Amino acid sequence: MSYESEISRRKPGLFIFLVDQSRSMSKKISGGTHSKAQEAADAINRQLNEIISRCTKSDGVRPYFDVGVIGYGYKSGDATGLISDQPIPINELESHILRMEKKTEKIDGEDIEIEFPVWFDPVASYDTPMVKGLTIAKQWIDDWVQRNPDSFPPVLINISDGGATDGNPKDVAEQIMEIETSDGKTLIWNCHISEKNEKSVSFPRDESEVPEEKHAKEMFEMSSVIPDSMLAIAKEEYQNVDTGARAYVYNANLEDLIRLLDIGTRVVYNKVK
Amino acid sequence: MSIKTLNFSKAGNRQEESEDSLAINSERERYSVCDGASDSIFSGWWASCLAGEFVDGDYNLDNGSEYFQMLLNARKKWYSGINWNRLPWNVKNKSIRGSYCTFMGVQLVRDDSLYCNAWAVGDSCFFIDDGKSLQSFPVSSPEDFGVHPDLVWSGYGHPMNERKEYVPEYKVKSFKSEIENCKRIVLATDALSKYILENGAESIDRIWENSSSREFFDKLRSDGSIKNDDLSAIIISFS
Repeated sequence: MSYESEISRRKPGLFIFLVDQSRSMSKKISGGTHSKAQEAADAINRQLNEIISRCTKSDGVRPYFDVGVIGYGYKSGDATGLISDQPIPINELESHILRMEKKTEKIDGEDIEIEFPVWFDPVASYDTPMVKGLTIAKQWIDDWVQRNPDSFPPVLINISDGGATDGNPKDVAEQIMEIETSDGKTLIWNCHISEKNEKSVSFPRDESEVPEEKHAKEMFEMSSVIPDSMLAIAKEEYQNVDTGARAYVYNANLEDLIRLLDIGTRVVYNKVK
Repeated sequence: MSIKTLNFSKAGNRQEESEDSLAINSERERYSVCDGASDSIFSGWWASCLAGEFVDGDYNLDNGSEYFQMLLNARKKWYSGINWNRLPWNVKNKSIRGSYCTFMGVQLVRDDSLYCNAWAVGDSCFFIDDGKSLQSFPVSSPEDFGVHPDLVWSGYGHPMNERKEYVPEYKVKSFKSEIENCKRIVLATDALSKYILENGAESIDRIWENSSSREFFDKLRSDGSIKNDDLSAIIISFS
């Protein structure tokens, strides 16, 4: 239970991103200029691009990771894979690109235009069937762990702006957190994004640190305790992170969302050999 | 004097995926090993350009301007060896930031005696084994191999190179010694250097004897004696 397994082509890692597609995601995110749905989609598309970049060598993309994205709420009570109907190796992601966009990136103070792939578009439609989304993720993770019993444990990152409308997600989340490889249990990171300009609660250790709201408590309970071996990276971004902290940010603004995704993925990149 | 070399990719990788590079110019008696950083792209090619430029030139790296000239020439070769207009989007996006590698270069000097000049950036090492003791440079203890060694940068790729001039940094460490009565010298990249520091001069005998056996090094990696990394070395024996 060390979270120390190296990641290689023989022992790939797994990232699953879950994204809320409920109607309320159409509201503008705190600290940003676009809707929560747009910013969440942009952030995940960027992370997929980053994972590809980490795996890119001069001769192509090496399959160090499998990835999958699940959206929930695009229609009432339903959830689905947004890129594929099961996790796919990172080197196969290119054949699932929706379109390429040109974006400006600042490198050493210079604006450089780069081509940026988009795999899925933002949706803000119906309710919040998070339980359905997690149930699909559980199936994906179960299948993947059977094929990769000695890999670094799967990492699931869930982005939502509210509570589930199809039951209590805690039960299925707890089942997911019990799925393990020989190197540790599956990790769930939760990011509750908000349109309100209120102070965020990042990486709480105790339930009393999150507001007295049902879904705030629910998401705390369904977030993994950050393994000690990963705390150092979280501390680079949030000084208050300590042993026992949960992988959870409540009332996240745009900056928090980007930082949580960065931390949740960077801790795993470091294991690539 | 006899020379043996080895360069094995990390376990699980194909041999052509090794990002270590070694170069020898016997006439000039210049030797180099460079370790391409796995975080960057085209780093094996950069390591090869740098090692080759060092051994085929006359650069005295105690002199900052000669070091910069070596880097500028190596960079020119690195840049012209990449077909920037035909790169896939993901390779292009990553290559903008350039490539990185460690550097170890050794020059033998024959005067009234036999001397060596060694120059290093990062944690590739140089060893002198005189049969009684083992000297190492620039890392002297196995615990000192860090995750983030100093690296030599290639400068930006296209199109950043059109916006920013290449300004290399001088981070060279140097070492000089008489080696007239020495048994052998070794240049090695980090994983093999750490193994030598942990196991002493006898380990160089084993490396020498097994320099063409990938199986030997795979076994050391699988039993944890050496970390799973590219392995390369040049061993020059004077006996």
